[in-house]
Amino acid sequence: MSDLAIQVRKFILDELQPKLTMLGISRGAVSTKFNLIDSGILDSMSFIELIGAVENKFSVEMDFENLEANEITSIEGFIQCAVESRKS
Amino acid sequence: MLIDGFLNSVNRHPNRPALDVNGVIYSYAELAEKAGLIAEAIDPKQNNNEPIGVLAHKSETAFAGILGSLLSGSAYLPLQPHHPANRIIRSIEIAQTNTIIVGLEGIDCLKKLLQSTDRPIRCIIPQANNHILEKLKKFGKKHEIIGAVDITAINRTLSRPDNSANDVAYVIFTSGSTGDPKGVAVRNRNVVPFVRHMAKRCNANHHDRFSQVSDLTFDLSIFPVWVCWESGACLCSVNDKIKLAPSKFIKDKQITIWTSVPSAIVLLKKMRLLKVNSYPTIRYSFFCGEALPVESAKAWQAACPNSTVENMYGPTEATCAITGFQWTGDNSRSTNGIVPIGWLLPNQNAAIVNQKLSPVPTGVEGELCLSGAQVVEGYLKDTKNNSEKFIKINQLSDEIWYRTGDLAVQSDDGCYFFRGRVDFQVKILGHRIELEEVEQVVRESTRSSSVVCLSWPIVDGAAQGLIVFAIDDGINCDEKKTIKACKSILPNYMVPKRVYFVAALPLNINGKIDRKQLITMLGDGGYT
Repeated sequence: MSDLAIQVRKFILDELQPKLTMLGISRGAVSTKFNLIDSGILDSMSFIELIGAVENKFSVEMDFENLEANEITSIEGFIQCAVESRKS
Repeated sequence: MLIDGFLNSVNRHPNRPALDVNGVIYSYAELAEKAGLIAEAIDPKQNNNEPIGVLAHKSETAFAGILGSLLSGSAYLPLQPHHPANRIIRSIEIAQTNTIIVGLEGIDCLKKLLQSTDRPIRCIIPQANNHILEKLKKFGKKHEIIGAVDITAINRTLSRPDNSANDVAYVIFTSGSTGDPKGVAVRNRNVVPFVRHMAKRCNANHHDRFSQVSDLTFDLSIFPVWVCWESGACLCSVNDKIKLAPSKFIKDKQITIWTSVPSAIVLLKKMRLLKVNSYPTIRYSFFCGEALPVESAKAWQAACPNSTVENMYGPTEATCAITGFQWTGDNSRSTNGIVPIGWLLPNQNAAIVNQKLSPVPTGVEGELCLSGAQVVEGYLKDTKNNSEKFIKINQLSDEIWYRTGDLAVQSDDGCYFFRGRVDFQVKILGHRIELEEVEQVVRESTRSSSVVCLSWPIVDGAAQGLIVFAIDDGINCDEKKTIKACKSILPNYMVPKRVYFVAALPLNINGKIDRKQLITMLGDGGYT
């Protein structure tokens, strides 16, 4: 995992910490395949808020246009999308 | 009958795709076979035309289940596995449902139902294996559990059920202000004219590909599901994750006919998924369920340049949609930044009445009342709501009119305009306030795509002030400036105490802005 990917992951987990705590999920249990929607952590509104937060923090503009919903909503896919946006 | 359109398509296009759900494509012949087996498993002796529950969500069983119910000669009652079990039990009790078709995604909910109801239920679970069946059989002997093995043993030829136009086709429950859900029973004679009209209106044919976004418990689903199958087209189910980012889905599935609530546009805009000409394959878009803001219509039209964009209006009681307005890019007809709801569909009637239930002239605002082929006769076993909501109107014919609770005005050329809810009117210190009026001022000042005004807090039953939530995608999304703008236009008692700019507004299960959740978010001390 690149440095940027590690930073993005840490930032996302920090943002989600209150909800993880509420659902009793430890940070270590958040695998790369962890799905932000299926897990009940985020709904459409909070998902968009998370996008905004990541975009602000890392000065990126995430592009979801050609991605599968499954890719975008898994934590791994989400991080990758943020990292890719930074490159371009 | 509603099922006739599907049966005709099975005969005409047996090998064409009928359904694309969770990555599996079913031809008309395959879907008919699945539905036929379910129909056969419904015991006609046990079922005396009571609606069949379909406890499933965006799965093969959800779609085969509604078809199987109709093929058995019964109505279908969609049930959402994510709803609280008590609410579902109340629904099946009111509808007197004895048989439920269950998808694998509904098993957990079914366990709770079986534990908490005294009503003997015949559960048909077409995809359940022996292991699941054994577990379920522990939930009491009074229930009957039928699984895949029992169903595949049945041999059946597909035949048209012996129903009449007067028989109920589906029952959908809507929330009731009293807390008990209200069952709306829509008959074949209500829904068939709607489906046939819409198939012509959007010129649907067997090459079309319909998106199916909304839940079957929301009657917005009636348009895509039944117009699709009437036309021999393919229904492409959009699961809950795809709903968040449907861009790739629309392109991959080459969707030609789109249906959603207008809030979906705001979500896509927020994710920058509405670039110019993003979705050239879409040729018809059906928006319904809440007011369509001009800004949303413009954004959608730009992303779908080849699409006819229609703003449809109608309560569940009038079968999905009863008026429609074709957006032409000319917003001169729009009022308060909202697209008109347009003209009545054929053979429907509307009257705008004052508080004394007398019709008002064109240009005067009043409560919209509806009658005609698509309007139902009343709620299931709900005499109180029936006498309040289904009425006769002075000076008009003897027919029964449904009071929508929606405020509307009609122009001289017959076009209807939605003006808000009768019950969104609030009073603060005796002053009457239309929340939509405040929303409109904020919308104009901020250019935000979505604005909601709430009365809050409520102390001893009386509203103390107004709070506004707005999406921060406009040009002047600043709280102080917005309040200043409101003060310059509105009397003091109508100026919001706080204006919160947020990335998105919460949506309820039907995709409408969830005012209740916003109130919850305000809590005791305000939004932080």
